[in-house]
Amino acid sequence: MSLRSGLLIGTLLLAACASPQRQSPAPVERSQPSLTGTSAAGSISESPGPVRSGDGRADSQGGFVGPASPAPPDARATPTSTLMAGINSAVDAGELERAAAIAERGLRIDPRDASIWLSLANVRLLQNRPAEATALAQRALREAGNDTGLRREIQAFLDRVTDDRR
Amino acid sequence: MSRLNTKLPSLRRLTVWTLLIATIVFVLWCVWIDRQIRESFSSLQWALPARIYARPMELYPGASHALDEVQTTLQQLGYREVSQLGRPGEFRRLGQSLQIQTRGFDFWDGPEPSQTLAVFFAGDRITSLERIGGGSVPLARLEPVEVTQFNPDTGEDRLPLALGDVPLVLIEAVIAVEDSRFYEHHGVDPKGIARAMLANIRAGGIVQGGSTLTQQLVKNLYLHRDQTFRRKIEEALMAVALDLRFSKNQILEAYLNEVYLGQDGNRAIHGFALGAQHYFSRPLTQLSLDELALLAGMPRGPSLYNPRRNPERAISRRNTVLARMVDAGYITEEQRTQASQAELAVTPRPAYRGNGYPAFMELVQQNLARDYDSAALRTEGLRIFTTLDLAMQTTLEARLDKAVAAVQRADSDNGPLEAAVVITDATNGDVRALAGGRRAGYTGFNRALNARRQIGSLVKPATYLAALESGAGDYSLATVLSDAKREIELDNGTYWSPSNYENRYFGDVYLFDALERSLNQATVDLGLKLGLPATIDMLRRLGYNGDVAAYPSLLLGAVDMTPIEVAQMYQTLASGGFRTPLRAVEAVMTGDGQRLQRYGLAIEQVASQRSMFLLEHALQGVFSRGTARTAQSTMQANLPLAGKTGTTNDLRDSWFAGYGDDLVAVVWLGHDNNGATGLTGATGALKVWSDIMSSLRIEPRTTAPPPDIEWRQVSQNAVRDPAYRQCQDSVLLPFAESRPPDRAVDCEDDGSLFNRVLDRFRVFSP
Repeated sequence: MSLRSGLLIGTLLLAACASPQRQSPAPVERSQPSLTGTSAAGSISESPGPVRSGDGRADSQGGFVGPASPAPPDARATPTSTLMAGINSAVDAGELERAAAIAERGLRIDPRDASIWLSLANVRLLQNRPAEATALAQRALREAGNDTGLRREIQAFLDRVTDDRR
Repeated sequence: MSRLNTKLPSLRRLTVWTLLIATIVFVLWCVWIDRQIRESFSSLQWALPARIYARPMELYPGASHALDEVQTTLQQLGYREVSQLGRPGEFRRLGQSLQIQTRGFDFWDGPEPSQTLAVFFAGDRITSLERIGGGSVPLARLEPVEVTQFNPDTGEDRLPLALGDVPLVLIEAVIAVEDSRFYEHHGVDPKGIARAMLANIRAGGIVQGGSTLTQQLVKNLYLHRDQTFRRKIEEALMAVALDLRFSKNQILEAYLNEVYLGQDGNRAIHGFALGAQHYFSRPLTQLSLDELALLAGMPRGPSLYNPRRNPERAISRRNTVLARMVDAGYITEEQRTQASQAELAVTPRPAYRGNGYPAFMELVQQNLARDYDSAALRTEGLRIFTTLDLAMQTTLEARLDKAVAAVQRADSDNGPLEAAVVITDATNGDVRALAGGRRAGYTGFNRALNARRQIGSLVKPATYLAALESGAGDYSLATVLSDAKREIELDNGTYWSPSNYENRYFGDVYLFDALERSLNQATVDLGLKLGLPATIDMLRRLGYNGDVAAYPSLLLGAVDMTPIEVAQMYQTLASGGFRTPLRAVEAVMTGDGQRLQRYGLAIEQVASQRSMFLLEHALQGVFSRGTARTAQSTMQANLPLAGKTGTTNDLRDSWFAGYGDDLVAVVWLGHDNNGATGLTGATGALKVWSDIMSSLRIEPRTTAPPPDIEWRQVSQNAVRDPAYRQCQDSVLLPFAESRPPDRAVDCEDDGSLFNRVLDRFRVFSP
């Protein structure tokens, strides 16, 4: 089983048993495009012509996006399960750093959720950053408490990282 | 006569030559203008300020947000309170619930759609979140509040928009009122000038201008505002050149983005997209006919027709625009009538800016300095997502000055007592609030980042953690240390004789007790047994990278740190031994929503969970039995918490660093001239810390013991001989299974099987 499919199955299982929500300069990720391409905003562009207002669709300004058709709500969904699904779809799309960003959003909402820590560890492993993956899994272990199933899963992950590094 | 005859040809020749030279000069001027226009307009780039966002508010069932807190955030975002939701950017309060039509936002991790939500509250929590007409919503995120900008030198701000994204209605309104023959003329409109002159003569004053949009654009981009004849000619020639070389759409797009629409403090509002945000707190595409007409009428007199200051004039101007639109056939009479009756829907004040949070922004700039130079930050229109928690920062600023005033000694003659505070997220190192001085919005010396002072006893946890982590010595919380007065000979032959607070010495004491009560002699005893390198190494592991002098006085805090460096150290403790670099910036995007950098969460385990649990037991004891016990009444609802007081020689610096499950906070009090404050860590900084952190409802610290921890009763008194142990009133302490208490103090382990079985059923809490 590949790492990626392992992650998907793992995170889906974790999402299913996710706990209910609680309230609650580092390495730089550089994604496309590179910094040199930043000055495009504000240049004069030859544009096709004006559009009618009122369609409420995206404009590139101020970050606003207009009304979209949101996914049908799921009464059983929790913030964690929603974000776990987001992590998985970002991983599917190969957007690993976006997946990490979603995981971090999840940790802001529930820093004690070991499954999110493990997801982030998985993403770092997919990014070929085993040292960070190990630390994050250790952190997951700290939050796993007496959940023996989860502890075993985290331990298996740690063993796998260790094996990979050998 | 003959003289006259000879004069005439020479005069004619002179005239001819003059005309010829004038023509050549004029042609050269035209060529030069043409070249200038071609080069400068085709490379036109707006200098765009960076927009700095606070962290967004998350809405979900169970989130600890009170209704008022959410409403405040909506108002900071420029949402309008209405009686019926109709458009994004509106909310409605209904008893203990809020209905919100969000605007949606492009975050680094993906877009948040615009949705219509009902949020229900009970006390300080959200109880449920529903989509109006569509069932429950697990999670939604409001747009982040734009707290400030890094502005270009011009002070101009704009949101450049491609023509394709501009509502046609706005374009029609602008053309109808400013330049109805825009698509027919060649940059200059003689007919328009004649018509304007006629209208002005009839009215006996200037009521109409003859400048085309192209001329106005040229004037705004390239010329001074003085009304000389030469400038008028230059303007006309440039307009013709512009019209000749560029398409009408390019000219129109530049005009719509360039036009000046008002002032917001030092910030000049340019372009209709930003105008829409500034006056209506909504994007241009979400404005109605009357609102677009109002904006279209403003370039003539941004101050005169400012809808906030001169609503009646603004309405009158808007209605003029609407009438012109009817004349031009863009709208019907019925549309005009309806739009003319619309009330002004401008937001009551510009979108929230607060005081700009200069201390926090200095940290943001420090964080970004590695990747962006200052010019890029001020001109490339970056969107910078910070970790600033606006509600927390507001609470900090609201309480700090008064809290400091309450502890300042009246007899102090060192000037005002100053302060610095750093509050971080205990999990991920996000800096959530920061004060560089006791006054809110203070722009001077940023003490949180730059005041380097001795940290006193705040250093002690490093030594104690080094002991618990040490492979040798079997250190535990019940290790017995000597708190006797001593003299230490230094390498240079001199002697160092530290003293305890109030010159009280306690003989043999437990390790946990020495930390809780911050006993100097016992700490020196421990630190010297371990060796100074052990403490220095632990400081490094906790995240301190600055200079450390390897003298024994280090053990009592003779090391200079800034408050933010202290926060980094305690962050590692609060993260359970995972060093987590502090960050004020999470991510950066371009102005048009492309992802640039992200400063992701990075952790590194630097101490075992077992040692961290033991250390934390003692740091919690600081509140329950030690130097911070005076805070018990203020923090009653929040205990247990972990923390440490710090005081420096002659009471120059008063420190407190502490943490709960969610937050870490460091408070420093002192004088800029390094004079005595008359305050200890407990009588000064701790009180300020308690005031702020109880207001922020810091969560109790509840760390579950790792699997290899066991609890055992030890003798009440710290003794080295079992003959003297007192077990009738013993103390329950956690121990690493591999390091049980010494037999001299152990009240339980007589080696019997019964006791070992009993251990299994012992209550797992102190």
